[in-house]
Amino acid sequence: MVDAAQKKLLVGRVRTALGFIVPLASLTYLSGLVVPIALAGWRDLPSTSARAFSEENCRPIFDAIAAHEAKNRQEGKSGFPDEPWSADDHRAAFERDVVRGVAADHHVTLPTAYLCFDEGIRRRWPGANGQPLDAKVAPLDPRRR
Amino acid sequence: MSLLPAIRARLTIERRFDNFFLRLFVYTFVASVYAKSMIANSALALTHGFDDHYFVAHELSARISILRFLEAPLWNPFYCGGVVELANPQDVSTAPDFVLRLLFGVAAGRKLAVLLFLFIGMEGMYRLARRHGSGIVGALTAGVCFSTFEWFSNAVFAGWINMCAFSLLPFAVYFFERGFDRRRWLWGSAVAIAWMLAAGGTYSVPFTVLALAFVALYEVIVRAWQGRPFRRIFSPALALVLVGVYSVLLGAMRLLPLFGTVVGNPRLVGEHPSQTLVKAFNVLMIPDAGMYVGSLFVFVAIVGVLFRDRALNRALILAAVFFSLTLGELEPTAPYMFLKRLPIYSQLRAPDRYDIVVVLFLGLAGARAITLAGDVLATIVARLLMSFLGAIRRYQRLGKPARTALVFVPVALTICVSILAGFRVAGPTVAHNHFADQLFAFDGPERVAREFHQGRGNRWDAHVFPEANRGSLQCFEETKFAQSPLLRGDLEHETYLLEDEAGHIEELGWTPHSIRFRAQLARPATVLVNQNFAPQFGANVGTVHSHDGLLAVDLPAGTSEVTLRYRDWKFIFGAIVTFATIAFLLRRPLAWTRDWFKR
Repeated sequence: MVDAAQKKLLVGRVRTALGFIVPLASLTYLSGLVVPIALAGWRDLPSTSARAFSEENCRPIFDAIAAHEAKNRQEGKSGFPDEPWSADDHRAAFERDVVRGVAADHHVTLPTAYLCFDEGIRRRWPGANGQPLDAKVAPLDPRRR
Repeated sequence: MSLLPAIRARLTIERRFDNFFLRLFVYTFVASVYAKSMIANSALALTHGFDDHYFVAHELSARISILRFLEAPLWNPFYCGGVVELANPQDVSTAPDFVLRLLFGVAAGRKLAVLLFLFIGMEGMYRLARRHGSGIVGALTAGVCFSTFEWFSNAVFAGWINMCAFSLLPFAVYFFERGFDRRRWLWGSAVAIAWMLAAGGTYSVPFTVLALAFVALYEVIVRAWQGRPFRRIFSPALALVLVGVYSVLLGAMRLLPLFGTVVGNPRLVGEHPSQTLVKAFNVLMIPDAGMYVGSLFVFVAIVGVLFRDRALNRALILAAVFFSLTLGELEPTAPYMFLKRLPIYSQLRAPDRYDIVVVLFLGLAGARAITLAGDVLATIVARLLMSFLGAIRRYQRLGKPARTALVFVPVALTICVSILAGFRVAGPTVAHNHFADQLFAFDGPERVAREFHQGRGNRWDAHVFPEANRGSLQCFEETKFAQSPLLRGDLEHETYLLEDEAGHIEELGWTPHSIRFRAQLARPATVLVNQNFAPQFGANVGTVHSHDGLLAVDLPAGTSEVTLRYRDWKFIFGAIVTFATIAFLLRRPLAWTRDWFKR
């Protein structure tokens, strides 16, 4: 037979054990969710060498994107004929779609495609019309609609 | 037989299970279902939403400033040719959750912040519901429904992690209400508001202030009705003022620079949104309507009015007040039209976002309704049991163990039924609103170590540029920041002479907040920097000014080493106030911790 004192002691021990097990189980479960994300974050971003943006590597990508420049500008302007920033923003939206397509076609990451295009504009490589692409943008003027 | 024995029995049982770590287990389970795709996908992947890319770009800029250059993130040279960072209304770089971005990178840090806010929302709602007399099951159900309702999923999809700071709303209300009697709790509410403010709380702060104002107004009216002493009647109003003062003190570091941007530079609001009463109900109850929280959840909360319970009615009245605001500009006399006349509120759009506050108060009502239904059910079952045993007359003569069993068994059974009901209410909310499988499946940025240059860029994928040391001149902001038409994305040097023949410029160093160069000039000349001008820029030599919006400095003839540096005295003063307030708050941190865990 278990007397009252022993019973009390047993209940106390069970409570102590639960007081340890419950936090441990909860924190273990939580860390299963959080730790993989945190570890992946610690591994940090993939690095790309600046040399990857040489003319040899980037020129085909730049040419493929730049080929759509005139069309993108035209469509941007037709969407917002009297709003220079909105027209340029619209142009950039078309450009985004082109860059994504080119990145997939050339089997490069999206950042690589963008940075190659940027390199071409910076170095004033000729576009489809033989002229460097316009390196300026319309000043910010967000529309109300 | 009254409800009292059942309530007492429930409270006794609940005391054993009201444990933070048990709740943490439940929260983790909910998070693992709700955010499964976020946890399973690559931690460095982004969503397709261009706003996600916008925020990632800004946060990368802030992280680069802090970690790589040990500078406070006041200026973002990577976007628009240079815009304010901390003073940008949507900036999050001083929010406590930004530490996660600093520690684990922006992409992973944002995901961890989503989880953090999810947990904060559930725990805050739980504590608030418990304060208003709800049982554990009802309070947990309310917490889950509030934190996982559709608007939060949409916010994460769009990349508006700053909007997840709305999860602090229950804690803001909870501490505010506790502060009616003990003022020190008001600091908790102020911390929540200051956090929202730091986390780009363009909506969360005004909404929270409005929620606290209506809670205070309700309490003042009720107390006056009850004929309480004058001091007690206006205690909630005084609490509101104190929370405002404390929030300003805690948020000064963010608030002062922000004023410089907001004053005279309003956000652009061109819409006149409205919705009918039916649509306003439907968005809460129909999946994919934008604010889905579950039809059963709304039904339980509203039907709860039958219980004629004070706490429940209070929650429903406050929910109704905010629900009326969601109707927007439906009529010239709509409540929203009056609200729009107030400063700050006139610059907010999307009145349907008031549904966040509606869901908070509906949650309180729902939690209370589930609890009351459980108590009534337990009482009925106990009574039936006693009738069945023919024990009603002899109830008082029964021994204590038998009497206890007669109440505890039905209550325990009812709690089990309540848990099933909680699953039934919250289940559809979590099941429908969970993050889509391919939500995070977009290429994150890559790092390229090289000199900084402005590029033409593209704001739709703005996240690509900061880590590659490139600016994106093409940009979008809610606030109309000045952008020079002279900015270029094809310059060999970012610093150059207005007149080439005046001399020679040699770049010596660059950080996001400073540009250092040596000028050898045959005559006085103007040096231009390929960045936007801001009055906070100063130089150790010459006079800084705007050249058609471009940062420019007039220099004398001869050789000089020039450092252009961005400094914001409003930030420095604000930081002193904020840190002094935090130091004041932390003077008894142990006492706070002890009180927090003591229930």
